[in-house]
Amino acid sequence: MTTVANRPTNAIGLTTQDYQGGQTTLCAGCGHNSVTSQIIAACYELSVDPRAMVKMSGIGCSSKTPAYFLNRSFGFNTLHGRMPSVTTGVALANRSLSPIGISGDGDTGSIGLGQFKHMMRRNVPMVYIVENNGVYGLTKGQHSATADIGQNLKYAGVNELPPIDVCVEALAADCGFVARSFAGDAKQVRELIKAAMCYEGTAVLDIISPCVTFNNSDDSTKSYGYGKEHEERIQDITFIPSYNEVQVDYEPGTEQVVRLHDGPVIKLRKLDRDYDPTKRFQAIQLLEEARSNNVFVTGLIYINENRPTLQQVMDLVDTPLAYVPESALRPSKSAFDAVMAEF
Amino acid sequence: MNQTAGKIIIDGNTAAGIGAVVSGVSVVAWYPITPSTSLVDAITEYAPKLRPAEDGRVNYAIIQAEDELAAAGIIVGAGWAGCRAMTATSGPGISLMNEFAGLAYFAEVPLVIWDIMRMGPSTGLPTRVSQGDIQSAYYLGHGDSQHICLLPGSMQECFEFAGTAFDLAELFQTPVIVLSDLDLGMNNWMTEPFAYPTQPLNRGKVLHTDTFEKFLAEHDNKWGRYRDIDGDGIPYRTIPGNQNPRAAWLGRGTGHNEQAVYSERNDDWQRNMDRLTRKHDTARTKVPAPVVEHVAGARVGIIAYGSSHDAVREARDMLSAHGVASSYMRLRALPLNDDVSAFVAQYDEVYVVELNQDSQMLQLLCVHVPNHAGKLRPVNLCDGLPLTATFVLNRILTHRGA
Repeated sequence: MTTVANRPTNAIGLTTQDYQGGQTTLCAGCGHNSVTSQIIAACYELSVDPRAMVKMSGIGCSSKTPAYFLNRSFGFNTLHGRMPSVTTGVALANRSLSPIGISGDGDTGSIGLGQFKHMMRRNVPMVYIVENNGVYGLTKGQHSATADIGQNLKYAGVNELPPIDVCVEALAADCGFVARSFAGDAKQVRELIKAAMCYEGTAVLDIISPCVTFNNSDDSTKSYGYGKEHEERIQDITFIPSYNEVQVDYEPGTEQVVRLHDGPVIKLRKLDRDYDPTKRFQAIQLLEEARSNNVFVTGLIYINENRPTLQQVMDLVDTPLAYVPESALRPSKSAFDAVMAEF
Repeated sequence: MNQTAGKIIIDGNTAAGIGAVVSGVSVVAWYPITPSTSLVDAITEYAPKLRPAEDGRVNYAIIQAEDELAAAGIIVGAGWAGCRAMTATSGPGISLMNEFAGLAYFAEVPLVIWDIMRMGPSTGLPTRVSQGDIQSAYYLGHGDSQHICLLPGSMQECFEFAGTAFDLAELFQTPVIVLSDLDLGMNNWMTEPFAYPTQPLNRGKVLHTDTFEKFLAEHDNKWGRYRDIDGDGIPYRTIPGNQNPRAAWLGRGTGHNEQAVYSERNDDWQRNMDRLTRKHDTARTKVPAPVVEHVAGARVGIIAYGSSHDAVREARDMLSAHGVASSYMRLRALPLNDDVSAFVAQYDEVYVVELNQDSQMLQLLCVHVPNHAGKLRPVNLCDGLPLTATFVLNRILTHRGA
């Protein structure tokens, strides 16, 4: 019999069980469930304290998933398309928290596009995952704004409009961490989540996550079949936490190493193309070329560690604002009297 | 002019801004809109003076959002995470904040919205006064929701209610909407200087790591985010940062049980809605009470609120000169309470003075005192100009057939 005591533990003594959430109510085989599993794995492997995390979401199938991981973390399932603003408030109120937000293509690409862009413009520190399947699942199969031209759905018919590319939007908004992956590629999803969690600023992960119920025919670019056939990884990514830093070794020329603020390292082994993820213009070019060639590239598309976060721009004190004591929230009598004397 | 000795001249938005900083606001999110902009300008101006930076860093955040949706979302997030958070806006902004107000009401998130009322509907008359958001504010949000609304009527109350609003928001874990108006907010008024507050901040039923453990020990080790322990409809709240592994919960606008877990059960839904009603009833006894002036022998009562106070004061003097004695009740908050019922019951004719087309407060009074609804008579002006005493006088005299 396996007891809790016998389960493997991570650096802070927690088991994977300690990062679990409730039972999923999504369809069996939904790509979102794989992403949930990789969030749990990434948090366990990074030994993050669940009490320092906060789970955020909007509305949609994807936005239900924060109930399925990190039961020991606070979280807020907010309004459709409005997770960015609520998370901005949480980040201002308590800068010691690490928000992880789960959104979908409708939540981000349609109703929430404005808030998504402004969150990135402000560089609100958070991991922002888009579980992207090109279709509205909860309302049974309408095209979303990320659907490709020609996407054919049972009830909605053929989509005639060009897609919004979440990663291109992120790049245009000067987001400093832009990545794309495929829910069927568990290891890459996990490594990218880990890298995103250690990035200081808004980290956007667009994860193609097939909807097995409404959009999984092989000609859909958001299906498992298409994903497996047309995924082109631009690099193999390995995330190395700072406590393993000494193990890092790499061959210059074949691997690119990005060192994050707190010391951890993202190791990118280049595949068939010579791609530098620190060049924004090249990143946009990569995505446009991939679209023309009918492939979707996955990996770390862009990283820029030089943008200050919102809390830094606003010169906030280190103490989370929610924990500033009353003695500091109330002005002194003398400061008050001085202001009254101005009138 | 000894009567002006020691007085100050200030506008209501500045008074409110100073009041908010004094009362511990730490997150302000807003979108510019006339006539509320100067309220946030005042916070921006006076926060550095009242709560000076240390090593260049401050314990408040003032953020200009991309629209009123985002402004509301930011303060929902900040209020949920434990801050005193507020916004200032006007009618069109209130319309945009509708959905978030419902979320905050239902997920029970404290926040404060200052609505500096201007003339609507629609874009209306942006630079003209109105009291036209009474009902849209009180019932803001779809489905059944009722919000605590404060009705400042003076510079002192613009200052004082800034703190009262935060105390009530945190006490009741709900949005509080302060219904000021353009006349109060943007015009200069003479007033006594404001007093340095003597009461501590009332942060309500928040359980931190230490108090959470104490709470569990005293309550059979049971806790639920939405359990009504005290019978007042107000549950106990934890905020992120609480280190107890049982303290975490997932906030949501969807149906939930007492443990904050998603539920579609009819009994869970009904129990929760009944508790919210109970909480609103508790609020009746905690909001600022009306200011009542009973005049011996009077058969006429006047009910007014907000910036119409001075016109009503003058109109009552003029009524006296016409031989009509009047008692007066100045409302200072919603929900209405028993004082209001007693006042209406006591007088034969009750005139309700307000600056809107549809007699919005009179309608709320009819619901509150249905047995006396026939006594209520509208004295309402809706032409974009501040109320005058002459208008009040003439309307009352006309009603009385004089």
